[in-house]
Amino acid sequence: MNKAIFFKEWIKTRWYLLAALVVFVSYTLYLVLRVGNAIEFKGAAHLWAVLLTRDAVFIEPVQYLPMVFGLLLGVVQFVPEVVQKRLKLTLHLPYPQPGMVLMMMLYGLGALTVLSLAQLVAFWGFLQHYMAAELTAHILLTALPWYAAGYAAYLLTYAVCVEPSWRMRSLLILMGIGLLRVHFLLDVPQSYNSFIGSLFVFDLAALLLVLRSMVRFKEGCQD
Amino acid sequence: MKLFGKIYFYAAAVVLLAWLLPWLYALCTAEPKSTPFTLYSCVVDDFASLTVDDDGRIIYFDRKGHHYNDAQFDSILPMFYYRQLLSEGRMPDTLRGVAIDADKIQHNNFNVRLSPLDINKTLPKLYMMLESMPKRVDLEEPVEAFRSTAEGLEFIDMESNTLNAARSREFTDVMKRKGFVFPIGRIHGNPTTMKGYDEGYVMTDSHGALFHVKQISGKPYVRAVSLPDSVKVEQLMITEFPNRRTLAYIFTADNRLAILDADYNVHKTGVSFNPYRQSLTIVGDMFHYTVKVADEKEEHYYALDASTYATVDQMVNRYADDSASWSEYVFPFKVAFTSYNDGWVYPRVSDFSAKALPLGLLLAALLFFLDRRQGKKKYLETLFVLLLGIYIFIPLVLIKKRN
Repeated sequence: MNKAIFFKEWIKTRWYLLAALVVFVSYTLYLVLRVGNAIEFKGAAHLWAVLLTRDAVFIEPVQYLPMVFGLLLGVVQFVPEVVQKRLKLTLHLPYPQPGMVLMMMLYGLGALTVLSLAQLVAFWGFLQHYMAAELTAHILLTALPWYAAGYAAYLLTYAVCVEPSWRMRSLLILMGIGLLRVHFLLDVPQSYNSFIGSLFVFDLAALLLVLRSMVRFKEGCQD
Repeated sequence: MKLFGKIYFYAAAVVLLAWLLPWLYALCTAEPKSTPFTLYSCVVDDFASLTVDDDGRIIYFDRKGHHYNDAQFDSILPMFYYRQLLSEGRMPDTLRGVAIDADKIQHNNFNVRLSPLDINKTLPKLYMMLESMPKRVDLEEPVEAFRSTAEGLEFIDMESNTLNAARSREFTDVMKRKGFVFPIGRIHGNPTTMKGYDEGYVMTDSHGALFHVKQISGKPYVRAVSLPDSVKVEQLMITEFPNRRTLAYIFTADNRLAILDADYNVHKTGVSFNPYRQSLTIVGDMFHYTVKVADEKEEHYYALDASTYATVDQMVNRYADDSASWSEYVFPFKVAFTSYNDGWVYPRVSDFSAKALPLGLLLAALLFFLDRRQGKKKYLETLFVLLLGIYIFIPLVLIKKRN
């Protein structure tokens, strides 16, 4: 059954995932080329100096990418289910409802994790040739809240999509905007170091909202 | 599961509202806060200030209540306004018995600004090493950086990202010979070429002993600095001012400013300063340093003698008390994720206010009444509203089912 659920999700999202893969690869290549060009023209020592003396980490253009990816993945995965009223059928299949919800969520979180990790590993692989471990860590630690925002965006979109009442849906959207804003509060590198663990757990705990919305959906809650 | 989802929803709503509502309130009620610009005058031996009144006029005055026009104000602060005085031909040739000219004034003038944000942030523990005695006049861009380990320094060639074992050994050996116990404790340097000269780094070892380390003609220069018993280094700041009279400022563990002069003598001043939560501004000239230590409550001014670093005068400007704000009657506490004093993001709960309890009580009663009309008695919700006030009342009312 798990395989069937994953296959169903794959059918729904494959073209979106392909497009997202192209965007992620393009962004990664663009940033690698950008940093590579700076090294070519100004030397690696100049980049070290910029990293050590200014609040810059060179990969800032990627900061909203995981969030947008997570949000659109939620939309692609769950809007058709709700609009075409397939979700009700899905929840009536002979399979535990929380398990069904979690498997669909796991698929999305897995896709998010694979793309985020692949991009982070690509950055690490490139940067560690030119920069000391401290500088590579400086850049990647700065980027962690941006990737955490991807998980928050995905789970909150999921909760909004399956929520049956417009009043609650509006509140979830407002909450989502506030929660996502928390990931982009300061442009100072490594500013989230002490908070990123708790923030990530809080982001993942948004799955409780999804489960709540799912129960409300099943109960037929309305405004 | 539904219960956990409900708890998450209300917890997130309370945190977000406790963050955004006080922020919105502050945004709507913010008023410009300006304080007089103040310097110590070597002519009238008093603090002289200028401020702008409600009509936009500039008012010049000193602490004794004397008022000045702009030309008089330039005259009582000749070290600061020397170019204006020179252009008007009003510059004296001697002051306090010392012959002065523009070059001498310029050579001795400096200003420093240090904010808590300069210290309270996470930086990579790598330090670029400049050549302090380059072959050409101008400083050259650094080519190496070093890190500190328990065994010694590790120099890395920045262009090739490779370890320079020979230089690492050379610096480590010299530093150990001079009594340095690795790893580095506190360290400060200013590895930029946009300055007149380079003094490398001032740093403490793992036992708190102070050292001056720089690179001269590719070789290590290491000097141990003996500290008075009363000086325990908390933070350091290398100065590199044009007159080369000082090497560094030491911020001590007992929150005082000490000055390390170019001859490695340490002068503990009367300036009280906590670098983690106060900002420091120093405007120095050949006679006095005007030191301003500011935090959210007050500005403390000190005038130091530029030769002896003794305090010759001091005064305090307390900001107008704006604590009678409506916000404390509305918000039982506030959440902030950022602060002007640091470069870190994490939730900080502050400004707990018992004055918000009456509103909490009112809202709790209102909610209890609404619930009772619907035939429900929700004591737990009522209790939460009493404690968390408006932050929990808003989401509760918004999702309450209407009859």
